[in-house]
Amino acid sequence: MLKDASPKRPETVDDLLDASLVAQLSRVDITSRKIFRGKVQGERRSKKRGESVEFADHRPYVAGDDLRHVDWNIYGRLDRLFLKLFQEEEDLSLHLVLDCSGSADCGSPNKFTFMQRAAMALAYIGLVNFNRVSATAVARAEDGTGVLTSVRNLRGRRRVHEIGRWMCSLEPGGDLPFTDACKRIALSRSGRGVMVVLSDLLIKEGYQDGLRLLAGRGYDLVVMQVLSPQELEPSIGGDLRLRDVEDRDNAEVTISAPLLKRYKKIMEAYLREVQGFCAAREMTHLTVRSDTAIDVLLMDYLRKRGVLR
Amino acid sequence: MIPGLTWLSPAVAGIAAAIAVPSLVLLYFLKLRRQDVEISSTLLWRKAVQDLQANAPFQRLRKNILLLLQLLALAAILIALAQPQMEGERVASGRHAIVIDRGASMRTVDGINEDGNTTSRLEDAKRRALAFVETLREPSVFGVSEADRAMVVAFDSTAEVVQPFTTDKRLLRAAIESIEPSDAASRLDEPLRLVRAQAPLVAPTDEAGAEAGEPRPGAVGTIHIFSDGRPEGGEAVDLHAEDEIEFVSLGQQETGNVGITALDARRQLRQPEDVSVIVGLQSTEREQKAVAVELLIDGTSVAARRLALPAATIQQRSTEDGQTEEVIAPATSGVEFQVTRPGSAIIEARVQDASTGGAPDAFDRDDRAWVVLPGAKRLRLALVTTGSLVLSEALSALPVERVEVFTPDTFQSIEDPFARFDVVVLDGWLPEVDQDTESGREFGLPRGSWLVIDAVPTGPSGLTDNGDGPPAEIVDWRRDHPTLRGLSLSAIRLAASRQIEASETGSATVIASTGGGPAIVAIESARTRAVVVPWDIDESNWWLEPSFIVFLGQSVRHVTDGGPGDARVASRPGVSRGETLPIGVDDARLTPPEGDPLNVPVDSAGQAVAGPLDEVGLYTLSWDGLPGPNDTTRGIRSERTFAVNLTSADASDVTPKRDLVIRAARVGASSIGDGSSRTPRSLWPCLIVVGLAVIMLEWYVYNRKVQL
Repeated sequence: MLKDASPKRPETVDDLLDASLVAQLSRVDITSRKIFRGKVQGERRSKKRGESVEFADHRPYVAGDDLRHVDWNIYGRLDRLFLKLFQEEEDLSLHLVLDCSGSADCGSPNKFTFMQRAAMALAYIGLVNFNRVSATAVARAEDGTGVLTSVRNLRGRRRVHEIGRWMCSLEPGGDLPFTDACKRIALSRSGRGVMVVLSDLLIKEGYQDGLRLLAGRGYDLVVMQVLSPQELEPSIGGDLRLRDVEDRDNAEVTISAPLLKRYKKIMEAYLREVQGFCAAREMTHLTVRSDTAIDVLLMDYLRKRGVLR
Repeated sequence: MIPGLTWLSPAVAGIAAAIAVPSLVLLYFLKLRRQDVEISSTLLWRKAVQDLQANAPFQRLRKNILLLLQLLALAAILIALAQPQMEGERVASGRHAIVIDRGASMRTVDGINEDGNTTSRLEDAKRRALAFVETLREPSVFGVSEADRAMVVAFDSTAEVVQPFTTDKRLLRAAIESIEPSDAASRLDEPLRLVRAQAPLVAPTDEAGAEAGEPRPGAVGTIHIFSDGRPEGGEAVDLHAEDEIEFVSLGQQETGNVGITALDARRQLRQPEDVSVIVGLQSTEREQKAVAVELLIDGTSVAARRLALPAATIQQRSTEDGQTEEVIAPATSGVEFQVTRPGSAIIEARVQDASTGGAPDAFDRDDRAWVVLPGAKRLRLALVTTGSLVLSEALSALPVERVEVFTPDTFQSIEDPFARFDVVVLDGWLPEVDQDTESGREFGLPRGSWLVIDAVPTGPSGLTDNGDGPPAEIVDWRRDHPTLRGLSLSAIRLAASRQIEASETGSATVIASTGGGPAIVAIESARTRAVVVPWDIDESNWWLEPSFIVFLGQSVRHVTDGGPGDARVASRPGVSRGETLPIGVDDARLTPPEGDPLNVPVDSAGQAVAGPLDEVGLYTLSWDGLPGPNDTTRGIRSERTFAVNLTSADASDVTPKRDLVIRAARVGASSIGDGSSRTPRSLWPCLIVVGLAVIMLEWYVYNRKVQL
């Protein structure tokens, strides 16, 4: 919860991904509860029947169908024309949305660093599995919009360093016009896929409109709410003037046991509210403490929720 | 308000509270001590605070235990600043004189202390006086309210200011604790005069309020007399109209006492070795009392007698306030012992309870008495006369060992007459005066004890002889002088008187006078002791009177310091005692019954005055030099023992009185210090402690932050 004056930032891809983690990541791939249409033929089954060698189904022939797909063996036995339908395989779009606001740059371990590492790991998984990987950093930009910077449509293992450099170049700070950012992402996004939103969701203007916009575009949305241990179980006390790092809002409080109890209840209620919101809209929500190990996050949390396989 | 709670400086506390409490609350709201902390978002904190502290600032105050503790500590300190105290019963504010009777009757053990043990009236008086001191108001720290002032006076036959007016309770307590009992009878006039002498001077004011006239002593305040009511002498005391008397009566009305009220020992005239000892007894007990009277001679018991003392007679008397009071008429009795004792003896009489052998009552100071009896030695007299038959016959009638008659010539041939004789009687003749050959200064009569008839020893005595005078009669004489005690000289006619003058600066004292001048003179100096009758006895009718023989006998005893045979008169406690020491003694030491010996000055006439002697018992006066005829010797020092006895019917009646008569008004008993009055306790030290404790608790809570 408390802001660290000078947190240690990762400077290279190696800082974001260590070798043992890379070895683990090679065995997993991104998955989606929805099977999306890709731009190019990829390694992924699509809902669309297509050109692959994997049989999917038969259907009666109608005039105009490609005769190459008629199953002549069945015609020989039944004397009726059926078409063989094959599963078409296509690539998957992975979009990472990274909260770069000042609130993310708090806590111990630092939430933003944790988000960088998690995003980098997911990006690596996406790249090595030939998925199209895009990433957007959201925070208030100089022009007042919600999107700071982004990279688009990277594909293949060779682009790992490119996205790594981009990750390391991010400097968190400022507030987050979340709805505006989501709106821009939703409008600019061509095609569907998995979108992972990494944020603490401590957004005063509300997270609902933004997520609703993203979900409305048909993304398989994974909301990873990263919170520091201090935010979940504060250990401060006394008469304090709490200052919001984003909008410099001051809250003068006298920390007492009832107040702390109340805060924890409100935090639990807030998390339940976010979870309920996400569940109602087929979003995957998970709350992650910033002191969670990345491999545990990937191999345990995300696998259990079907984000990785 | 809490009953009995008073505030010594409420205004100071009020001002401090008016400043401190708003300041503390203001500081709290200004939150000067808040620490800035940067956090990720105030979103949830705001919600929590809004939920919890829906109604600022009272909700905030209610929940803030630190502020509450601070306010509590501040309240404790502010209340302490007001100096609250639980007030006790107050007789009057301002000045108090605590007058404590320490006389003999206050030794009576008839009180019960807090532990249930018996205690003397004086201890009870001190306890009550101490309790009263606790009820006095102490000075406030800021001098806002005035403290009570008190003084302590102890008295018996004399009075002493033990502690002048002060507000310091510690000094007052120490002064009361230091009061020791004495055996003297108490009198009220002396202490009341002493208290009056401490009264502040007040300038009288006229109607306009301006000062008019010289300042005069104002009211002392309240005079608290702690006594059993026995002291008298309060009738004639002049008190200020505004002075109040509070009499704290001590002792139990039922307390009876058996005491020795008289003790005398006399030798038989014809057989001086036979001694008759008379013991007078008195009882104020309400029932008949069996006692044993024991006689001891030089510390050895020689006789004992059992005796049943009748009960005292009790009468009811109605007091002015309508109540009835008991008046006790003591029962008296006596015992006579016959013992044979040729030599000197210290005779002691003791009265004991016949059944237990212990003290018969609550007052033990009159259960013993002493009398000092000189040996049965008789005087040796020398009569130097030219042939007076009257004198030689009269002296022969005295109980003396022998009377030798000399002519002046034969007497002068005796080298040291006082080695052979105790007294020399000179009839119409004077020896040659001692004279310093160089300065020509006369020393008057030679060293010794003289009875001079029909002659005038001039010189340092201050006597001047103016020759024969006309016939005269004795018109005045000192009835208290040892030589004339019990005599009447009014019938004496002088056919021929002697005209003499007595200088005021000389050693001669006129003890009887005719219309024309001194008739009988006593001379007392360090060297000489003499009684001078300057006229011729034969030329008067005195020798026909019985008083003449008595006069001779008493004069002989006087010039030889009392003379042998009779018991030495005992003193009363609280009275000074004068003893005439042998010629030439100029320094003496007195050993009291208890305590260290003290030096007693001896004046030029050989008088050693000691006292007042406060204790009953045997006192011994000792000196370097020759002993008198009745003195003993111990080593090179001569000793004289005398007794101080409480033998008095009044002193042995220790029944307490419930009223004191002061200024012709009766003062009833009050109940100060008997436990019914509450003691004011200063509460501010407790409040300071509470305040500090709360501050420490606040500090603990602050350090534990939120753990409560």
